[in-house]
Amino acid sequence: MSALPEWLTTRDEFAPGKESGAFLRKSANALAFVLRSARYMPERGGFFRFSPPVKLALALVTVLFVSASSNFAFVATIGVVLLSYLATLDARRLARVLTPPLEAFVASVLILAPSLIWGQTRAFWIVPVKTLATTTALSLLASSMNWNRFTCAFKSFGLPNALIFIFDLTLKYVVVFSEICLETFDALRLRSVGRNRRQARSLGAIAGLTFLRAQDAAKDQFDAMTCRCFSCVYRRYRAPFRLLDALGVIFILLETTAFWYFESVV
Amino acid sequence: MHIPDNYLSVSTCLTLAAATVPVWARSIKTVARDFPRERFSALGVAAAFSFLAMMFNVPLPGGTTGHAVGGTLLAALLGPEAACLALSIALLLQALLFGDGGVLAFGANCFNIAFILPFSGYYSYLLFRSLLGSSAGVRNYVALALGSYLGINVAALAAGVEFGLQPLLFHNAEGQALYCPYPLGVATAAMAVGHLTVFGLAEVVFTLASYAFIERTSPQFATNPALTQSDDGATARSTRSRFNAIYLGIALLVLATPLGLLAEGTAWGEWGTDEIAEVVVDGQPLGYTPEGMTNGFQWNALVPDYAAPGMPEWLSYILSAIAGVACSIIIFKLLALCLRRPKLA
Repeated sequence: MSALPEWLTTRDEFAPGKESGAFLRKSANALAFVLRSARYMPERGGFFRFSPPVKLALALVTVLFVSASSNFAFVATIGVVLLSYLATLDARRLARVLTPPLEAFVASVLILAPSLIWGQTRAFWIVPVKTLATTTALSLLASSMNWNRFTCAFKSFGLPNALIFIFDLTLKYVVVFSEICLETFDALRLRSVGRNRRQARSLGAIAGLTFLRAQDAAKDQFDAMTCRCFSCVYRRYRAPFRLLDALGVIFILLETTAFWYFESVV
Repeated sequence: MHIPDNYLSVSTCLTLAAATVPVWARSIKTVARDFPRERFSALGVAAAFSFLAMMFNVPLPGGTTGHAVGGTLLAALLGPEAACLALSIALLLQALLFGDGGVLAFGANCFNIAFILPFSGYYSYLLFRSLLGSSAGVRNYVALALGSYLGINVAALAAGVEFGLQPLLFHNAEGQALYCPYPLGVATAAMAVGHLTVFGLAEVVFTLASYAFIERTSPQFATNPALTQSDDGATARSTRSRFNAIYLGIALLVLATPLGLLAEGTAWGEWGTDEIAEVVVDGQPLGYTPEGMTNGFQWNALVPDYAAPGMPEWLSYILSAIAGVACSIIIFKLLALCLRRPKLA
């Protein structure tokens, strides 16, 4: 019976090196966030029950007037209206709607903080409050509509078909490409079990693979459009005009009147 | 009773803030442990209630004004810890957004209004209730009236002592005060006169009226056993859920807030740096502006004194009230989400 070789009797110390895997983790998280946003199911109730064109018009008018207003009283009035509506939302919906505007508000406060040193107190407040009001209006809009509903709303405002088609296709391909990338990242993660110092170098390969599959997807898209006789012509949104939508239109008129009133006061 | 910035020294402000920290910690711990998450909106409503109560200024002969707080009311309805948190949020919104009460003096204001007032008012209410031997009916109302009166007066006395200690502790070589210039006797007497008479009465009226309204329309708003249990132990909660009545009450209070504008003048101890030199106390004007006030910390509130430029005063007051109510409710809804714990299976 032969003795064990010496290398087999010695004790091996295995200490796996540090590998954060940050590249894979962060990239996958970013893609998952995009997919989650794209597949987000909209909320219902209150503002969320307006038809898409009215919702879009309300949000855009609010953003436009708040941005253009030189009178703080108008901005404050719109801010109070938005706050009052937000106070009626349940906690989860409130957090979902309010998180992006609060991040934007804090960022603008930090950017403008040095203006306090020179005594520019008006600018210090008015810009963050305007940011908060406009981003809240857009956040309410984004949380209330599926992305494909935006195309309906755009058509109601008479936007050219080509523009809507590009918008529509872009949104759809964002989802498709995100899924492709996510699958590729999963494959790379499986291959990287143990240790792989070259994860980041795979970026080019992932981009190339996604591009090749995009070519196939574009061809499939064209074939599908041909089969369905779709010639990039979108139909106008034809939902019945309800009482609630009339309230939305009245609110737009009130907002417009308030804007002109406060601007004439200054 | 809102102490503005620069009436107390920085060290006094920091000391009182440090003294309030354990109270906040205990309140947060107690509320997070005992308060049902789905009832956190009630805390927001309570903060809104107090916010509105403090907007109704009541005049006092001599040109000063004051207001009710509703601290004992909130403590009786929700417990003193919940009242402490609700009042602290109301004070924070007033200081940051409307410049009512100092930002540096926020800890001091919370010590007086969010700690001393609800705790002293609540425990004296319990004491009077046990002395009168009833937890319902007229005797309960008498105990609540005495508790709220005592609560606001103890808090006012604390504020007076804080004001009065400043010239003793902080003055320059010429003997001029650096911060609040009025000595202990003057400050405590001035605070006591207003609160023992008109403001104390306003607190009692506001507390009893609100308590009666809530007991009649929305008894389920109260989570404190002091209200929900009657003498024989039977629950006083209504089977009909009329929680929304309290929102109606808040809406009516919001619409009535411009009444607070009828009272002209500044509350004692809340004068601006431009007017304190002219204020007459004991028959003679002060004659100088304390150094600490001219060179002290200045916070530029979003809507100073609830008055947005370019807007009628009454409308600005109403919009400020709506903003304060909405912010209180939003803050406590978000807090409820942060404090929500997963349920065990």
